[in-house]
Amino acid sequence: MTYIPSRNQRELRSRAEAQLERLKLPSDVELADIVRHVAAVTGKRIDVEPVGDSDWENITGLVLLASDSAKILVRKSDPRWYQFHTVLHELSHVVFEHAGCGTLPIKHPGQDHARAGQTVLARGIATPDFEADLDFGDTELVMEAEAEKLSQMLSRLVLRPRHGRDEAVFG
Amino acid sequence: MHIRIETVAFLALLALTLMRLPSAVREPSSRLTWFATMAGLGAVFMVGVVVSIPVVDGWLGGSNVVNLVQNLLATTVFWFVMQASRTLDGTRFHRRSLWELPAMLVSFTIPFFLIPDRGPTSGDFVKEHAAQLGLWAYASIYMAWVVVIMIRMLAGIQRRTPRPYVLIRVGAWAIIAASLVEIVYLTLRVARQGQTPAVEFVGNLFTIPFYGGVVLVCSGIIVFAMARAIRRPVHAALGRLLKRANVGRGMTLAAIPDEDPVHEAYRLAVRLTDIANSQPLTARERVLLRAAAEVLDRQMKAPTVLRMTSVEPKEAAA
Repeated sequence: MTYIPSRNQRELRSRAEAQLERLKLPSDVELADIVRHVAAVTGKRIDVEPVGDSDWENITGLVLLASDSAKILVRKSDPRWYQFHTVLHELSHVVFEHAGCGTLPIKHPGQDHARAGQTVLARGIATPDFEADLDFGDTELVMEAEAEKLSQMLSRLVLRPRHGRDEAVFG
Repeated sequence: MHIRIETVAFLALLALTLMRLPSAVREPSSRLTWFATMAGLGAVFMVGVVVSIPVVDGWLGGSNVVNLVQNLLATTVFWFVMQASRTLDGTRFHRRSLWELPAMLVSFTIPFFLIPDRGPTSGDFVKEHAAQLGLWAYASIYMAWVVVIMIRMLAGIQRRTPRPYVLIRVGAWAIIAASLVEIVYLTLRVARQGQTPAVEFVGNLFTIPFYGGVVLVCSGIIVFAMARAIRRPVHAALGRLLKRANVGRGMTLAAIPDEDPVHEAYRLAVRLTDIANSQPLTARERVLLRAAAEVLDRQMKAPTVLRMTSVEPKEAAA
């Protein structure tokens, strides 16, 4: 299927909402559930692995895509919630079925994980705020914006008050 | 200045009732404990904290009915808190269980009115009339119900791990201990042991653990109420600081329509961390980012990213 990038913010938002709906996630959801549901709707085996060190200067995470699998690598030196966001961002690329891009520098250590036939999508550092600043003519940026939007929606499902039920009853 | 523990309990209940008013209006799951705090305010009002006991009892006929009303309200409070605790696992409150409450209330109201001589209004009504069998039945049945309710409440919260439950558990055990001590005291008095120093020593063991327990249970509930009440304003303030820091770094930011402050703060913290990946942050920005991480972790802990796979381990190994 040929990927057609979103043409405006409204379309981008509605596409992200449609993908979220496609995942059919339960209301009480954990990260592992999202991984499982993404695997189910895309038919890919999903692996998540915290790796990397200070050599990973230019990216915070990446996904190695093959026809039947997606391997998500996140920088383990990052704060927990930042790693979590990176995983959601990469999973969102998989859900959107985005093709690989050239964000990853050719000599980056992340390339060590790539095998023949795999393409790479990487979440670079210092991405712009796509809500305010997005060139819809730039396909790679639009893919990033789509992944970022869906990851925000997914994060809302997981990031709930720690003791939500207790607060609902006693709070 | 001497502050009575009953006054502290009243102030704790007053704070709780006011703090929980918005959530009680908004969410049905909060209403049980809100009914409890409303009844609790009435119960402590009857202890003479706001208006003296003789005045309140005067309104009710001047024959210590104030003591009965106080205990009716206290039982109502404990019962609603207990019922609330039983909904923590997602079980719905069934209105048909409401019959329990009037049954409990009637069970000690009848012996109260069978006390042949209740005498004029007294703050020490129970101690002054404890030699009468009617009073023993009235006060002992009330205390026994409190014990039963507290045990059921402890069962309701037994698997709950948040720290405020430590306060609630300790408070509940203190109330149980105080209630059992009171039953022992009442039994000693009705057994014609008289108001000897030893018997009165037992009787004096009631007030501090009972009202102290009420304060502890309220404190535990207040912690939950506070966490909920401050979440939005704290995250809104954090979001403003993060936005300023992001804008200061040249980021153009647009608000997401209908985004709640909690997730907006998370989004902006991600942005600032993105910036920190490419440029050194100032000391102030680093402090802000650490504070943001701390608040986000405390309020909504993000899951730890572990090595995981979407297929079963057996398949993965194959």
